[in-house]
Amino acid sequence: MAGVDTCLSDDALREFLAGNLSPDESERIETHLRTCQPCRDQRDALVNRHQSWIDLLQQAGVPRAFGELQTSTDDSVTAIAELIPGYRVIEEVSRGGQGIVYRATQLSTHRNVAIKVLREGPFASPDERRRFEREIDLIAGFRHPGIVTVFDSGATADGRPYCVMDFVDGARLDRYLQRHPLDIDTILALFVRICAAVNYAHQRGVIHRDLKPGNVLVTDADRSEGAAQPHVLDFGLAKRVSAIDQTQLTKTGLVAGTLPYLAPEQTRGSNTQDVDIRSDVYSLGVMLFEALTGTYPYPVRGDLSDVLQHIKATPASKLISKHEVHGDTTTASTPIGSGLARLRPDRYEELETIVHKALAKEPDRRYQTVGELAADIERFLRREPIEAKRDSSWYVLKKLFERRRKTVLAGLAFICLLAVSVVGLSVLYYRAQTAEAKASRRLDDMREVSRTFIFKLAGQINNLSGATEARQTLAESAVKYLNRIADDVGPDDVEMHSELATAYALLGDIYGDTMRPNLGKFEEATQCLEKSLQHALPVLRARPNDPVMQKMYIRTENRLARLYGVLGDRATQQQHEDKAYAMAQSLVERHPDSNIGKADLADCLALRADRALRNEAIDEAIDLQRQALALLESRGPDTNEPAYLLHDRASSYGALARACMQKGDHEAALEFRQQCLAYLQRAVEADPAFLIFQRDCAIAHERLGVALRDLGRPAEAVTHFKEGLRLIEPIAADNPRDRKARTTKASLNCYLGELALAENAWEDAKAYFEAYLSIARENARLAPDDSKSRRELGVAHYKFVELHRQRADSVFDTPSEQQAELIQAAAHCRDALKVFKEMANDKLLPLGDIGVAAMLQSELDALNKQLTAFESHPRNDLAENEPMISGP
Amino acid sequence: MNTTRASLLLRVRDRDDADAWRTFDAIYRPMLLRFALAKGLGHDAAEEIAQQCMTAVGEHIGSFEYDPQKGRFKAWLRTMAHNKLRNFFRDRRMAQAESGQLRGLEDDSDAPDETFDKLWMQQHLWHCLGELQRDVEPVTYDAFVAYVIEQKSVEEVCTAMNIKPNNLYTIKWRMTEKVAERMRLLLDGATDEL
Repeated sequence: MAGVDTCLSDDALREFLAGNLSPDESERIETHLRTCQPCRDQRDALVNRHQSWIDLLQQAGVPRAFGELQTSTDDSVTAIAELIPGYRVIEEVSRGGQGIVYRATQLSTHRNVAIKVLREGPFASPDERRRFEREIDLIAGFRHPGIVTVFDSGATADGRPYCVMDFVDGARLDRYLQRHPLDIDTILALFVRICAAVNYAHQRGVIHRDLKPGNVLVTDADRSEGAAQPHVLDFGLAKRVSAIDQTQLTKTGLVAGTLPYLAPEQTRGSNTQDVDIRSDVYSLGVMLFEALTGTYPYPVRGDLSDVLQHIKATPASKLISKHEVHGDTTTASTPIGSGLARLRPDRYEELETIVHKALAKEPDRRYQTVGELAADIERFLRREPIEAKRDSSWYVLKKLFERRRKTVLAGLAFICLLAVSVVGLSVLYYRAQTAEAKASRRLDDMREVSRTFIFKLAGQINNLSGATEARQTLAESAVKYLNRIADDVGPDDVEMHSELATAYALLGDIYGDTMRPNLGKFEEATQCLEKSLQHALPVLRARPNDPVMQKMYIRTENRLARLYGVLGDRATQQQHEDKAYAMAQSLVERHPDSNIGKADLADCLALRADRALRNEAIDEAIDLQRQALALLESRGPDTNEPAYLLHDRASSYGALARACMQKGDHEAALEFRQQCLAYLQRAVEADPAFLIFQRDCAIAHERLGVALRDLGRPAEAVTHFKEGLRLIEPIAADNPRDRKARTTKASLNCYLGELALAENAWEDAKAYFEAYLSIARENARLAPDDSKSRRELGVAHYKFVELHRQRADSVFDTPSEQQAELIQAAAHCRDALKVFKEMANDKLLPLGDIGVAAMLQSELDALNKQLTAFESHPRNDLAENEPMISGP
Repeated sequence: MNTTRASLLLRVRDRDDADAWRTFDAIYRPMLLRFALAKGLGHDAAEEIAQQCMTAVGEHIGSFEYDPQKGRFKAWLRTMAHNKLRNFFRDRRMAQAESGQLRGLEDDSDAPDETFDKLWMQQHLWHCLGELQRDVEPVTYDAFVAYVIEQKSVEEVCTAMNIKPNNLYTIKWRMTEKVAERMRLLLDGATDEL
């Protein structure tokens, strides 16, 4: 052993690696390295010193010259392997309209996977993209034997979305059925399992939208179960085709694979809102029809427009043609057909009723859930009477709503349907009470309701103006339904409590989320939120470390706190704040290395800061807001923060600015105002559809303008006021009920008027004040009990007093004009005085305004005196034109 | 690339540093082009977007307050590229709406995505490798690519390049040192990358 050599120093190794040594020295070191493991380890450590760069280099791959860029459409196995790290891509499995499926091995676990690389850009809008990502997240949480597990997703290096799922070595449903002719009962049992899988996804808020035999893989009979196992693929991956047109259909291969399974509402395309879980019911109906008969329920070959017409209007044909029915097996076209023909007439009728109900053209006439379809198939299999032909009572009820919906806004259609489906679900609930599987059935129904709220309602109706009435109906039915269920939930039924907590929290928001458009029913909102907390507690006891429930609890407590704040009950507000704070703190402490709970704790701190500010503990408020901001900032780079957290930051900066104003530190306040505006602008950019952010942006412009004005920078202030006005005007026009939007529009006009007046820009000032006065009038009319609105009207009149007085001063050399101005000033002064006097009579006068009436009275007296002076000492030009009012 | 410690970005702010601007253009133009292509634009439209972005960079770079702690240039460039894309999609949609063609182009320019970040890093690394390719012996470069990036085995690389395994370690050491150093200069302490 060359152990006589001393081991190599770090420097010697570096010199060696850098090639700075003489050949002899290098030789000596090489010899030593051959025999000395510690030195080799040291060398390897040096060589791998930049492991992070090495990783990045490997991800980046070999540089490709620019001309090779077009290889982004290179779908070959090698090209794809380069784009998706962590997997060894083995072969292409299939290629379709949506994308390409590869078989691969996950390098870390050696498991067999299928990678589906979607075609670039299947999303019509950012919203759709977000929905896709959210759905993939949801699907990644699915654990169901009938659903192919998705466990990874992302975008390839060249930007195409992909998802990775378990590799299932099965046959497509249609091919499986061709190869394994099954009897009717076995086919139906297989469908019940398919339905169970689809229903599982529906209950978690995911609609498939593209169910077809190609998306159901069947593996051979499991020996223990003795049944073929279906695996449903591609949940959430379907394109939301926004408008079906011929080129797109042929381009993506929709005609070949998907078209016959589309529900009528999916072919209309113009309104993707129409697509819901009942579209999946329809697709399953087509698949069932095909499985039983070997053909489609209506002609699907030929000209595209004909096919679309058939889907929309041609009723599904009979399962077997007339001459085949009832025992005449000789002419039956398929083995199953012959099975159908052998059915007893009443059994055949029932089966056809089931299939036809699933295939109803109007979603309302179909089974409303896949669960219902499965339940009816099971009844059929058990030889029990099916539900399909029975009660049409709630169909009738829906029709009633439908008639009404034509008279209301477009978006309402959807809400009415939802409202009705809540009614429908309570009908289900009554039915379920008599059934054996009462508990599980109820949980399913329950989930259906709450998920519907979460995924459809909460997202879609928040911004809908004019939907108040429908939302109210909906909320009321939902509360009744939830209360009924909540009454008899056992204390150990944690799942159920969790669903109820979520559902009540959502309802609370609809009634009175103080941060968003709401029904303004704050009492009802507090009741719902408190119920949500009641149901959250047993869940938290059972799962003390469930961050999802904890976060919900914190948010609900904070919302309650804000609601009690709105209701003026500061003591209760504080109680809720404190509970949320304690929970948020422990949540953050328990997850020191992650972002869990940080945003929630920041929200709690912001509430505490508000409280400190109310108590005039200004420095404490500033400190708390800074803590809140620090927490939000510690979440990492803010470039990908969701819009609402950007909005949270803006709120904190706004609060800091207010606190600094109270301290008199205008410079600091200005800086915070600017930050506040910047974050709001980013929130708007992140979520341009959400009007509240735009409205708040306008408010931020207003506040920033005020700060600039107070610092003697009127020109900049005007820019911000004008920008604020530009933003707020459409919002105020579209949302006449949004008081904040109205008052902002009013005050912006007021500020602009004041600044114009300061510049002696009479016409501008007059125009702004006129706008101000007219909004103030409207506001006071809409909210006669609101002292702020009433006061604003008084102020608006007073602005005209200022305007006309100043104008009178500037036209002192033309007495007739001067007098006219003073007359106007006096008139507005009288109006302003009247407003404040009436407020006093109605006991609405704020404490700070107690002296205002007296001040206005003396100003009016002064004006009248001036006017009297005109009358008693008329100038000639006046005397000629004006009649004398009072004698000498 | 000269050895000044001033970052590329700082040099580009000085508009007379034509060299720096060329380097800048060599990195960001292809990156923006690839970004636009990845977002589904055709080649002509993508070039147009890249040109618009580079023009905007040229206009704003002088006034750009660079905060190395936050990698703000990257964020700025990403935001701008997104905005240009969004405008493009919006204009395109309006044109389509006017012509009665309702099917819009896909616009996911708002979506939080990793494409930009990946392309950003990839383009910098490629640029860096391109420089190294010019600076070092071909065999050194090829061996490095084969061994470190393509992760071929020591034996395979040594046989193909006719070098000794010890040389391979030396190559890896020297090249990764250079990559780290050059990337640091290129990104100028935009440490959020690592």
